[in-house]
Amino acid sequence: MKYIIFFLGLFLAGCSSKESTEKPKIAVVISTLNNPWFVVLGESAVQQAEKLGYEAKLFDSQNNPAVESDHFENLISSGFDAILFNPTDADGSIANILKAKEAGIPVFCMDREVNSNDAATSQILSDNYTGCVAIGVEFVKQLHGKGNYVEILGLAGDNNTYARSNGFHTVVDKFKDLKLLGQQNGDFDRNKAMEVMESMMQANPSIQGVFCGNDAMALGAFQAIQSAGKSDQIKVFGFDGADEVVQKIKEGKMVATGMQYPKIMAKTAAAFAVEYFKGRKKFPQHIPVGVNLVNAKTAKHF
Amino acid sequence: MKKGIGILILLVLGYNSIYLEKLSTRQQRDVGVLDFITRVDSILLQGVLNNPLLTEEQQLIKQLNNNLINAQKQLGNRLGIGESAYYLVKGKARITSIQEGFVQLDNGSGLDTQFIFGNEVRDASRMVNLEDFKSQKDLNALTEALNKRLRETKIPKEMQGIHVGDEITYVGACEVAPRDLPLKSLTIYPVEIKH
Repeated sequence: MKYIIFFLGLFLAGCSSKESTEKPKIAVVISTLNNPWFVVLGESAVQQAEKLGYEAKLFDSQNNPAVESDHFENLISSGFDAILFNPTDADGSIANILKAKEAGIPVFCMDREVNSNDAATSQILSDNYTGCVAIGVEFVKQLHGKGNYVEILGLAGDNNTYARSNGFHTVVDKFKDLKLLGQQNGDFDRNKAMEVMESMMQANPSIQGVFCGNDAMALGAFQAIQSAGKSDQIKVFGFDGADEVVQKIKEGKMVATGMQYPKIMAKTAAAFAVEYFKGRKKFPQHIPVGVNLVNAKTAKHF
Repeated sequence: MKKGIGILILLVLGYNSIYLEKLSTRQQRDVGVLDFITRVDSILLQGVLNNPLLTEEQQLIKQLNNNLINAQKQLGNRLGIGESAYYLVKGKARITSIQEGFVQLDNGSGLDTQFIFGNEVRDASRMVNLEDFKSQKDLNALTEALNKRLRETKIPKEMQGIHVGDEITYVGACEVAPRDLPLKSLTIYPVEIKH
């Protein structure tokens, strides 16, 4: 009997020992892996979590809130301990964060903001507004404060779309001789932006500048402008800091972009998750990550 | 009959000239606006003009060039994450040119009075904390209220009567990133310009 109790004790001790040594698991849920920028964000978050010694798994929401919701349900039931999250929708994703919160799982938003001040544990976001204020200043300088321009916005309903546009217009709208001839959504998509630019050029032959809410759209707009033979007439401004755009700025084909730092956002989110595991419970609700202006003068640094 | 129409018109005009609003709603709205005005005042006065971190320009350049990390810790500030930091600076120099709102000084530095749109003054003042704001939008609104005061009211007023060749004293904020080193001069976003 004594032996049975002894071995039972050993068995139970073994079980509890396994549980206590099991490392927390981190889920990285990304809005879409169809865009290279988000691939960098997602993969960097996984790498950072693994580098810090934790198991991490990447989930693709395919820009679909329903898929995102399924991911949350699965990862809550699978016992993940923290979520590094890039939401699909500023409002629609809040319910998913709250589900995780209810299950005691901290959620750290990366890059895309949700419209809630107390759902996520913290939101680590590019300072889109200030970055686009800098683009706006460069835009005014390059167009000497006058001329006709158009704007290609990102996705309707996405906070980054509006933060970028607002930052840009905070500056540009102060210059009354700069006239906005058209403003359309390009959904952060290169091909769509190309089509939008083509139609805007047909409607307004006198465009001198275009501001695009991301670099994929800036490249699409540039393609349309080049095909129309208007490269010397229309100055192109983007946002993201894509390699292809930085190269075009160096070559003098595009004017400026805002360099974002997805790796820094991912690194910060992963570090916050680890701090949470170690007992820290209070985090600032928003952490802005600086955006650098890339133009002809500064491009050599990027 | 005419009297009746007249009274009717007066009643209509009287009704439309009065708008009733709950006092609590009015107070709530006014507090928001007043709060911004008060915050901008205290940022400019306590955070910049009376801030002991306000450093003489040549001294600041020397400290930044000698040891950026130390200078950043002692004198710089930045809300959030980023490689650059913002500094308070004061100086005295003669104006060599004024072009599109850019005041070029004979010490090589310049005062950008036209494009006061960024976070330079806000962050250098050390008077704003991220925890005070529930959203990025609120923080950006304060930044713009602060910049607007300088850009559209305070600095244009102080620039009246100032010409090329004048010697001026100035107080402001600037941004410095590691890639800007070695520094010889600064681009300053002014908070005060005196002739």
